Amino acid sequence: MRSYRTYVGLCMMGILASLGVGVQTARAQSRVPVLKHEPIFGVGPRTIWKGGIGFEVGIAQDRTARNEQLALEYEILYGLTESWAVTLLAEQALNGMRTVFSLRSKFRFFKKDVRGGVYHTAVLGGIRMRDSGGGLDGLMMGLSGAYEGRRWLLFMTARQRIRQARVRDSILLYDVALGVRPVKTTYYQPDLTLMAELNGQLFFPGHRLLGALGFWLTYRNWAFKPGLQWMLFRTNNIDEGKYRWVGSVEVHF
Amino acid sequence: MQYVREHMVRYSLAWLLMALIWAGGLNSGYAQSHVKKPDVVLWVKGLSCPFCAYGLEKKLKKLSVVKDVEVQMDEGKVLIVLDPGQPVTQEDFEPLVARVVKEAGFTLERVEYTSGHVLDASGHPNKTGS
Repeated sequence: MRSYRTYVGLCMMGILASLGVGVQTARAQSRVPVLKHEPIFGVGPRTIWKGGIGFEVGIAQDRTARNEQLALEYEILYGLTESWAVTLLAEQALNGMRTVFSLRSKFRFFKKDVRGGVYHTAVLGGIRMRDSGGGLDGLMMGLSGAYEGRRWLLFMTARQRIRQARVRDSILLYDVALGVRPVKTTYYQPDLTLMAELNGQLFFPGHRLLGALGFWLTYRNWAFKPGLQWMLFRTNNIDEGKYRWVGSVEVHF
Repeated sequence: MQYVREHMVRYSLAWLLMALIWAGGLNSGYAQSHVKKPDVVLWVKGLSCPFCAYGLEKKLKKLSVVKDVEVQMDEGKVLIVLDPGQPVTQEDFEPLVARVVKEAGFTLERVEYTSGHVLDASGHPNKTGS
């Protein structure tokens, strides 16, 4: 019980510290933040095993009141250690064929394994390059904590994105995701996890809250992760987002 | 717009339905254990999702002394069949599997020897479990 309280305390302190980094301004698209087995529109602390390699191909569509954007996303993931992973992400907008590269990293600094579950917390960091090809466009940092059990899963994450060129376009993202396995299957069976998420975006001034539903379907080292996200609440100064859907296939080896 | 929204919801439900059917179909045939008589049982903490445990299976299978591996998620166990042609001592085996389990991202709780294949420090068969 004591370790559990310590864990919750660490999570809360981390999220508050991340919130304290600062809330910036304006709108920004929320990309598919894919780093291993984690929420579909959020992020989790899970990392790949030491020496493990992952590939992911995803498609995402953002539909807002003003425009529609369809993008393909490719990701390569590598486990430097069992608690430290790096990922190279390429996002290609299909309307203009622009490709943006991001380099991200995740370090899991706390992990407590229990029978059939794990409590863990990771710090996140990343850089995003300009779509024209050179130079730094922005930074991302954050903190994520989760409990992942055989039946229930809970993820809490806060991320701050700062754009170098236009600090006013920076954004604070916070996510809470709850997952459940309707059927506990064995290791050699397909594993289905249903996910419900709340994804918040804080601007200065402004706030947008989105709801999302999706699922993971995994079989051995393959995963399929589709999800649908829609607007729940927004302040008047924020553009109305219609919906967003993503679908991705991931393989680890 | 309403038309698109309706289709998105419909396709989402269709994906979920297909996933459930596929999962159900495969579930019916692959639930059986294939390691009947393990030489070693690893009790591992942190086994919560099969997708994440794949690395553990892969790393264990890379060990030359390991012939077959079966992960049992709910029990938190990994059953290991050792290569009968390669004798191994407990002194060598335990640090090796402890490192592999750690590098896969899990915690090794204890090791149980069930067949006497692994030798203890004095060269006698080690059998700590049933």
